[in-house]
Amino acid sequence: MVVLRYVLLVLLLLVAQTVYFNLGGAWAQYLAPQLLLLAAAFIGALFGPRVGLWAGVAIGILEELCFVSPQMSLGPTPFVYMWCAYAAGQLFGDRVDLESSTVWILLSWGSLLFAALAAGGWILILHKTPFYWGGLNLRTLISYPLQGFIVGPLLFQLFLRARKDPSHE
Amino acid sequence: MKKDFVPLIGLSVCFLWLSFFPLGRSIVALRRVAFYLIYPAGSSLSSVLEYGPSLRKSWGKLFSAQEEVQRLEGIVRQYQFSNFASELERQESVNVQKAQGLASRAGGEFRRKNITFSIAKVRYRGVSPAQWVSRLCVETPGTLQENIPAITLDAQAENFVFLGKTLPAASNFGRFPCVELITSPDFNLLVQASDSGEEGLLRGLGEPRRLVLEFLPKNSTTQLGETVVTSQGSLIAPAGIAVGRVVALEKDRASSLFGRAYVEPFVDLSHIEDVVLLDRRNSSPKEVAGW
Repeated sequence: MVVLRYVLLVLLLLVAQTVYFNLGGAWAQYLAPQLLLLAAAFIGALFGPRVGLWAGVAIGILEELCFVSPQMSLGPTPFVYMWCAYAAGQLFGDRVDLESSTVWILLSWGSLLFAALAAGGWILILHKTPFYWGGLNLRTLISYPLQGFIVGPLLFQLFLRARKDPSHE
Repeated sequence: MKKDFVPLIGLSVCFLWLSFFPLGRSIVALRRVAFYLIYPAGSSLSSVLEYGPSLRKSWGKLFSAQEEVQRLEGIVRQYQFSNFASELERQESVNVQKAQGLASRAGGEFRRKNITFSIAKVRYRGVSPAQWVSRLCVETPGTLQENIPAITLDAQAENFVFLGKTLPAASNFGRFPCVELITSPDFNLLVQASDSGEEGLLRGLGEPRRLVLEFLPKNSTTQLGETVVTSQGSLIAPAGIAVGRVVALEKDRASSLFGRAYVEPFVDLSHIEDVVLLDRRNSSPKEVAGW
């Protein structure tokens, strides 16, 4: 039941992101939220690196299959999500006060920048864009503080509440 | 920690190997179609069109049908263009005969200009409101000279209309040569009202549907609805190409020295696909100055 709750949360985010991209028009160009990446990072931070690792893999593959990125090969998305969630678990899991808003913002900002740097490295090495969400351009970078301060804390509340819910403990 | 290390490294190697393993073209095409359905933007659409023809069966047929329609449209456009070219040729031969007569009377020599027509596809437009009405960039094999007139097809009137002139290479943005549109605030063109025959200077206002026609005579007889065409005296364009229609006349004021009118351009800025360039590259530099 506990796992099902998080699976539903991730699927809900996937639907929300798809609907937003489809109906958002110009807004979706300027503020493209990376909800699934943030979800993977939050799961890592809440449950530690091991859970984070597998959640990152699962969410990455889900995004590869559902949120088809337009590159020539599979693999980059689960790779980056896995490392992002694992690193979030290593850095934040059981080490910090997870109810502090500074942690929410740092976590979401850090995971976005991690993914952007990974995409940047990919472009530098292979000369092609690896993931639709990782383009290192000014527009994307400007949206990171907004995602870090608004989208990140909202999502964190959602995941923290799901974890704290006494019904499954 | 050590237990996590094995799947972490194993999965990383696996994903990296997958990343370097290219997918088939048809799978990439399907992924791009699906990506366009989720993220409908210009870039995702262009990637669909790039890989679309590699899809098999019904999808492939859809894209090949689209290509066929584009080919037929191209033939129709080519036909309309050749009609226009022959009309331009006829007008020019009349002008040449006049000029030859004048030149022989003055004891001089007249040499006909060498003009080439080329159709260029629009690659991209300016994206800000000011840039949208000011310029578009076209795909041509090489660089273009400055001040080459560009015309386009007016779909409603089924006639060619004046669009703008090419910019100097230093003003281009991106790697394709750009055309300054007639609606640009920096654009000036000598034009003539078709019925009254009055000449004036047409200037863009940075608005898509309005241009200002200045320096008309003070007691101008130009009427509303009159067509404005390029003038014989224009340095940029050959005479007689339709530009727009007079939609408003400014009231005669005692303080003003000239008359003024507002013109709606024939060119529809939202539907420009092909541009016809009247190239004078083969002419000598002396001949290039003016038509």
